[in-house]
This record gives sequence, C-alpha cells and structure tokens, in this order.
Amino acid sequence: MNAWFAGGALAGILAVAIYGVLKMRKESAPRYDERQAQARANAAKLALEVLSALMLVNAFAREVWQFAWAGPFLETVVLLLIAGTVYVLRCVWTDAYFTLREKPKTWARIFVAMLIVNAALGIMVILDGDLVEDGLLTFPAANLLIAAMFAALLITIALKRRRDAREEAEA
Amino acid sequence: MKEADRFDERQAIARAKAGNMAFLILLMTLFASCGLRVRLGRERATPGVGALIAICPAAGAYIARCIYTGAFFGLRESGRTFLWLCVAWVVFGAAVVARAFSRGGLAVDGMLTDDCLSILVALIYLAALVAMALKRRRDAREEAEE
Repeated sequence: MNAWFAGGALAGILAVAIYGVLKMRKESAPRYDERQAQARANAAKLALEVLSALMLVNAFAREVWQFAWAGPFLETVVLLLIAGTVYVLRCVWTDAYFTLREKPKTWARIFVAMLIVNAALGIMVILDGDLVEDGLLTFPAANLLIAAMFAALLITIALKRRRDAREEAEA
Repeated sequence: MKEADRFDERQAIARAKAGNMAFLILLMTLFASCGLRVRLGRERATPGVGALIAICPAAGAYIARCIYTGAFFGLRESGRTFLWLCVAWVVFGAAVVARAFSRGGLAVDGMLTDDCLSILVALIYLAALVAMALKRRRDAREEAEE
C-alpha cells in the first residue's frame, strides 16, 4: 500500500467525520434526547480511555520486543476500530445509538449485510494466503476485524432487545 | 474512590462532555500521527514517546475543559496541591527547553527525544494554569454581577 492510497483513505475518513459534525450542527431539532446525549458522552469517555490504553500498550510492546504486527496505516485502523466498537456497543447497550426517528430493525439489516460482505472478503483473503506478508498483517485483514465488529454489534442489539423484553414482561 | 462519590451530577456530565471532546482530538492526532509516519516512511520518535506525544493534546484539552467547567476537582478537593504541581512542571518544562536548545534541539538523528515529551507535559500543565486563571476570572465576574 503506497502513501497516496493511505493519504486518500485518511482524507476520506476525515471528510466523512467533518461532514457528520457539520450536518449535526445544522440540524435544528435535536437528534438525541438529553439522556441519550449524556450516555453518548459517557461512551466517548470510555472509548477515549480504551484508545489511550491500546495506544500505550501497542507502543510499549513495539518498543520492548522490537516487534511490529502491521504497517502504520493498518495499525491505526485496528486501534480505531476497537475503540469505535467499544463506543458503539456502549451506546447500543445504554439505548443511545439510534436516534429518536430511526428504526433499529432497518439498521440491523444493513449491519447483517455489512457483516456478510466483510466476512466473505476476509475468508477470501485467508484462502488466498494474503493475510500476512513479511510477518506483517496486510490491509485486507481489516475486513475480518470489521466483520467481527458488526457481529459484536448485532449480538449486543439482540441481547439488549432480550433484556428490554424481560424488563417489559416484569413491569 | 469512585467517580460518582467524588463528583456531583453536574460535574459528571461536564467530565463526560470533556471526554467526548478529548476522544475526537485523540482520533485527529492518531490520524495525523499515522499520516506523518506514512508520509515520512519512518518513525519520528520511539514508539513509546510517539504514543505519549499523540495522547498529550487530548489529555491537555480534557484537563483544561474539566477545570474551566469546574469539574476537575472533587467536591472535597481544594486544588491547591495541583496548582503547585502545575507551577513546578511549567518551571521544569522551561528548564528542559533551555537545556534542549543549548544541546542543539529536540531531535537526535531525526527522532524526537524524551525532552519533547517533557515539554508537552509542561504545556498541559500550563494549559491547566491558564484554565484555572480564566475560571477564577469568570467566577469573580459572575459574583460581582450578582
């Protein structure tokens, strides 16, 4: 993977993030109620702690054992995906992921599709033997991680629904 | 001591919001750090120092925002010890800057040294001091208006 590809991918992710923030500010009606906004801020704080800890553990492991497991770009993406997963799972569990107007069922179908596509791509990479090159994980390994992230997300949504159903039955 | 015992509800909300902002800043610095590594084609510091440098801006922003919103110190804490710690670190940071420049800079063979990290930590404490001063000024103004 060359520097131009990595730069383009980074610019793309940043552009989406900036667009998201601008869109959120432009909307007059709040997307989340007060409790949800608070739960999302708490989830972000937890993700901050997880990401900081992961960065330090990764850096010190690389320094002590002089060992790299992936290139700089994949390393960043993996750290980001793990912290992002923590954030999303906590938001789902505290009922703060979907906005007041969104339907979780529609999103769950999209997540299933993403899981299948990424898992299929990941399995193809494993079968082709392209997962590791010169002792470093290659970029397509991110597909497997994304598939794992969506699997975790779907499991959490299912567990949350089960808990909500049980609480409703008890009430 | 648990966070819920140390801080009241308003402080807990302010800390969570500061954490949210710091998370976004950490994402930005992580991307910038990765972009720099890819662009240069090599490390700009040892992995440990590089990670700590990347975390510093987010940590500084978190601390400064918590202080400014009155959510950094617990209900039973005065903050006096922290104030002296800040002053000590800023003085230490100034000494490190003077020493580093007398030696010829903050990098050796193109790699940032530990001195750079010490200066960044001193900058965090300086930001904390500025936030404390601004908070005191705002509190005094609000008290005078009442």
